[in-house]
Amino acid sequence: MRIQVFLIKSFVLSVALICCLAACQKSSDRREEIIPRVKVYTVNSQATGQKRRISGKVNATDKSTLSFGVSGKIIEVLVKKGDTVTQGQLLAKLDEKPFQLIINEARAKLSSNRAELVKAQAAYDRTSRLFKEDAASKKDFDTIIASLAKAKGTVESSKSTLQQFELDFQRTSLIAPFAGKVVDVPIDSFQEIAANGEVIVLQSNDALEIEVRVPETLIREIEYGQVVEVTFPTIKEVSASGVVTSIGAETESGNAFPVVVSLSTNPGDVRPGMTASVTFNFRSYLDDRTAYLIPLSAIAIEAGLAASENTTSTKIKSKNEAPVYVYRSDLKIIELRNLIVGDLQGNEIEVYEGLEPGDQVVSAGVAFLRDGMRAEIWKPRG
Amino acid sequence: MNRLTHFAIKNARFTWLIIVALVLGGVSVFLAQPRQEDPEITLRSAQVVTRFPGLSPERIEQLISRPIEDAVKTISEIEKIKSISMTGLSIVAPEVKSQYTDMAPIWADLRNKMEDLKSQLPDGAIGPQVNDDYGRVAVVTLALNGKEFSLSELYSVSKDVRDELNALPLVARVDLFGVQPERIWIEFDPAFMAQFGLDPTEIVNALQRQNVILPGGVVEAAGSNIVIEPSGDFQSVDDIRKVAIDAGDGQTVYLEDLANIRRGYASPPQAPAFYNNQPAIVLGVSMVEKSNVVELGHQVKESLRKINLTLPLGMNLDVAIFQPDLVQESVSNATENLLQTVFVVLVVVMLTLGLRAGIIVGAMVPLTMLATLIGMSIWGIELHRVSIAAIIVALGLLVDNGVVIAEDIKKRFDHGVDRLEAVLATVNTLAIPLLTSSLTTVAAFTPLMLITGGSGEFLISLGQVLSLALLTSWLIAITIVPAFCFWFFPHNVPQDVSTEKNTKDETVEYNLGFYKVYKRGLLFVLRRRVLFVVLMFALLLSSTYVFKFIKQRSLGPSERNQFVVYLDLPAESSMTQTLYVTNRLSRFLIDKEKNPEVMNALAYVGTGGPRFFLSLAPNDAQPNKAFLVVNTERSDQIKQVMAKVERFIIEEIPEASGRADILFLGKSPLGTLELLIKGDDINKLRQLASKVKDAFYEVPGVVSVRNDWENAVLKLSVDVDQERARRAGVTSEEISRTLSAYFDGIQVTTYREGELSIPVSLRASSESRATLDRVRSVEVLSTVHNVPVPLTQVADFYGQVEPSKIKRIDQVRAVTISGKHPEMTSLEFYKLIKSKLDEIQLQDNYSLEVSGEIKDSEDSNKDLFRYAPHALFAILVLLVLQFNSFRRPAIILLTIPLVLIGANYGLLLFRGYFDFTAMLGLFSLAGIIINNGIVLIDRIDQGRDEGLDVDQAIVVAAIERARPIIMTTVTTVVGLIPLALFGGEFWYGMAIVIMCGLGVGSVLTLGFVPVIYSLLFAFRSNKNVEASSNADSLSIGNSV
Repeated sequence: MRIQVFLIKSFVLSVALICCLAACQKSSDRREEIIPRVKVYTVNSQATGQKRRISGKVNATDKSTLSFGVSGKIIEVLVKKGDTVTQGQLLAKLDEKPFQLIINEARAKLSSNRAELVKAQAAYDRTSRLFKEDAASKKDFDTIIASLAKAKGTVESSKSTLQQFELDFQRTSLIAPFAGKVVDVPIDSFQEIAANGEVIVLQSNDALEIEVRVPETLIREIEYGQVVEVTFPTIKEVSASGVVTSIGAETESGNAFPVVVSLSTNPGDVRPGMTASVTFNFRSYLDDRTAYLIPLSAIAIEAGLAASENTTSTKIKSKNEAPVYVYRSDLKIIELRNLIVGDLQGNEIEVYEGLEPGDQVVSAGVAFLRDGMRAEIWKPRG
Repeated sequence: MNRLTHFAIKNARFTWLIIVALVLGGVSVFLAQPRQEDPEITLRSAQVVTRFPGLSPERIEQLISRPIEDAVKTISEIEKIKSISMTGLSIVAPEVKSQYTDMAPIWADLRNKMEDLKSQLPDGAIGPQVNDDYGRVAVVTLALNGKEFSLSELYSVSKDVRDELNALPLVARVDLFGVQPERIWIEFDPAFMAQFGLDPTEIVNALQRQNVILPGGVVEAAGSNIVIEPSGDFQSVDDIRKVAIDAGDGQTVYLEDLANIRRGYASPPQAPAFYNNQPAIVLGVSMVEKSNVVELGHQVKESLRKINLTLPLGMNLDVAIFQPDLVQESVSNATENLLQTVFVVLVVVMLTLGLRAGIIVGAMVPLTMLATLIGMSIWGIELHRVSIAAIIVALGLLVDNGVVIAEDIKKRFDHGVDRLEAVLATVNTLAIPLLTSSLTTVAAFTPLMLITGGSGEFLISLGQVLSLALLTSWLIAITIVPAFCFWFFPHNVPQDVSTEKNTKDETVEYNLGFYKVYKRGLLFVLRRRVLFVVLMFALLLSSTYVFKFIKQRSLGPSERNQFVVYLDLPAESSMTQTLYVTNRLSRFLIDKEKNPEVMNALAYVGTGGPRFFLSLAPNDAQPNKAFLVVNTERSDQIKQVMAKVERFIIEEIPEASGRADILFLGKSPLGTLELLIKGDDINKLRQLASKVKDAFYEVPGVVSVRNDWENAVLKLSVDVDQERARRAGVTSEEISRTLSAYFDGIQVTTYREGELSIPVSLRASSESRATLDRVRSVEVLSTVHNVPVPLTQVADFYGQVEPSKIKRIDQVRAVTISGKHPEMTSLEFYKLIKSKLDEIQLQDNYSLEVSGEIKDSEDSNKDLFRYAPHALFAILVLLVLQFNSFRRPAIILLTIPLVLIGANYGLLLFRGYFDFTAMLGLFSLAGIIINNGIVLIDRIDQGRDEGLDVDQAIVVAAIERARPIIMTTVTTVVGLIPLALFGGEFWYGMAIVIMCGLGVGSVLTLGFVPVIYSLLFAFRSNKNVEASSNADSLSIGNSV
């Protein structure tokens, strides 16, 4: 019995002990405060104005359609599409024979008229002597004078006719007025061509220009002589600079103004007909302010909304307020600051007021931050 | 009643046959029983998804979400309607009232209503589509990965693996996650195209018109039918490259000269998945309902062995999450617990009753268990967390009946009564009271079984198993136990029948140290009855005061060795950014130096992946969210790894906010306080949300404060000036189409390769899409003038702020603010900030209420207490039936509050949480503690019937019944020790409550019941009490 009692007592005791041990196992763990780290962007890059890209086609500055001054039959075409020609080179010829015949005829005419002139002159001389001795009548004298004048006139006329025909004869040869490349030869040999009909299209390679259509919203910002940057979508590495040389006074199709940009240099592979992208830089709206650029992700929209009690309008136009969190390395906290911002540039936004170079703006996870929060700067590892 | 006993003893062979049948049947049932981790819960919610690409959240809300909500409201079975409206997407989630279990007709009704609604939604809306099938749990999660393999190669292998696994009989379905659909991309430079005078439309037309498979007809030639097939459709990517586009002037240009054509994947990526930071295809395997998950585990393992042999070198099929192993472990844990409990109970019984009695009563335990298992199988209860715990709790209880019977029989034997007579007499006296006490315990559990809804389905097996166990134990206690006692108890030399000697022996026996102390204490207390009652009352009051210091929560967390991480980026973040950030976190997680405890980590970006844990709904499918599942080697390492992860997120991931959560059973995350703000105006809601957040931040150390509407986002509005547009010759439609083709890409046609259908999409080259600025430079081809028109010419641009999503609950806009404190429960946290919250001024039509874990607790407690009065009444009826008196049941019911004393102090001492399971423990205690009272009062009445006066009867009964009462208490208490120590967080509260509540309560009952009985029935003064106490005459032999 004793043993039984003893056993029972020890059993109960050990059970109680186990329960106590179980209770002791549950210890609470203290938590130290963990300071969050934030990704910051150091303000330094300045806004250089707004950029707009408009595309256009490359043309040769000098591009002419050449034609014979006269009609005729084309007897020879000395060049073809793509040929390079020098200034003064003979390009095509018309059949000379008809023109030669006409010249011969005119020469003959001239000779005949000259002979007439001599005859009239002789008559005048005779009649003039007779008139001086009162042997001829005034009437006859006048008639002879008139005849002489007429003969002179006829000679002149034939002379100029002959000159004209000689000029025509010259025009049967088509000469290159400048050096360049033959773009098109829309004729065939032995084709009858009218005067001023297109014979050869020639363009110079050296000077290139680009015509773009600038919308009315931007046209006021464009000035003569404005420097622009030109890139070519099909030639990746090439870029050139150009100058605005002509601004149209009236809109063309698509209510845009034609603007011509001359390329300052020809960067080699660019040929007329290619597509070009012209980037216009507008700076005037900046006046003399310096604007800094910060990533768009730094704008703490939520903080701005919560702060304002009365938000009836939700549109953010240019030159508006936008809040960001600035990291104060002296206090090791982040601070909400309101900035005056402007327009977008790439994926960044212009800041007019509120930031100085060297300021550190939090650029990620701003939706989760609070004004006055303790923080440290995050340095990415590997 | 003793006829049954008589029968059992007489027909010994038959009884033995029944016993053997029980054993064999029970064991075979156990082996075959379906088992899973958690009970099946009917998911009472579905999703109605509608898309309208490009529409802003507010317009989606007005035009789509609200009409759908109104239509859903007309279905009477719907209890709650939640909705989310985001850019281009509307999700309406109705929840069905908890009393409905058959969801099929309700969803059919929903589908019909949505079909009818289609015509009222704006043109261009895709849907509404009803999705009611996302409650499937993936019991096994596999990850197919390989560094040197492309995603499309992984995809084709994964399809074979899926087919292989689908063939297994127990597998219901295999879903694939992380699959990246292939795309053929045609990327053009818009400036270049515009100069050609080409519009994307012309390319689209050229591609579509060439890539056709249309029948060319059939030629009937000399009696044979010969099919004609014109070619044209794309046979290879090169065919696409060589498509000729008419550029005007009779010129044609090839597509490859206009654009870059390449074969790739959908961009941005669609819901990629990663395993240990490697891109992977994740397979979620789900099981056929009501089967044995452990069996499925074996089948899958076997299948995996075969599959692994066929995988190419370098490709791995890793097992990420394997529920069958967890279930196996918990079942074997439970069996261990069971054996431990059986052993302990045996020891206790043997110590008090002696070896033989101990063995007999001990044998009762497995028999009852096996009978219960058979009953469970008939009733359709599977083996899972809840039913196993119920078995463990039942162990301590079911011994009681046998102990009382055996003890009484032994006493009679010791007094020399004829064996058969003694056995029958015991059964006669005790059968009904024991039945009453068993039935009252069952009645105490009935409120549990009547809870509707998910929590009801989860816990119903608790009541079912306990009822089965108690009733079978009663049956066995009145048949088999007496039979065993009759057959196996040692034949005592009958004691001398002389009463004196008997009395002396009695006195000797009852004069043991313990009984002496008890008797003295009882007499002492009976003299100061009123004082004692007052003392009890004071103890009770003090325990209710002590309750304030006990931590509360809704439910314990899961014991799995895994936790989840949520990573949220600002609402406007792109998938690429989220991928980048998730990649950094993954790398940290699998770094063996920093995190040696981590076994593997799954990451899902832009989705929540498969549902691998029943009560964890998958994460939102948004490009700015990532979800990770991390498995550690052991579950005790979870806390420290979670702390490390949260620290890493705060320090090393500035772009995101995140949190690590342990898996929880229940609807809301544990420890998180959720507050709900309802109202109408979005700006006002935003301000209120900000004030609530400020209140949260007042408490230092708070973490993870978030707003479920996330942050407002910037939208770029392109305001087309119609005048300028007309002059330029472009229309809004052309502008939209060009913009969409430029940035998003438009699907042009489909490239068919083998069994794959790969969409061919047209989009601007990546440099052209790189900056926001480029939108202004986009050129739209004016079909009127045939020139490209830059967008700035015809439109103005401005930024607009709008909410990224709008959520509604029950047709009112609602914002949920949540946050947690690592050192406090959600209730403690709430109490701390309540004063600050009350300061917030709310206008009419705006409300602030508590939701989340706290509300869930309230709701489940309400459910529990709904039927408590009914249960109490049932108990009362049973008691009145038993005693045919009102005073006696009153005494017994008065003992119920005593359990609180032990329960509260116990929880405080052992640092348990008062959670839902602890509440359940209290309910069960109510049923158990009254058993002591029943047994005592029954004996007192008996004594009075024999002629003793009240006080004498009281003392006699108390001393006689002290041993069985203490024994049954000790067996229950000790039987729960394994559950308390090894059963995990989920059951700790319940175990402590029952153990301490019962332990202390029983001791108090031994004093309280006599005192109250004496108060209610006796009119004696004190000295008579003292006199009669010396006459310990008991004439037990005469009782019938």
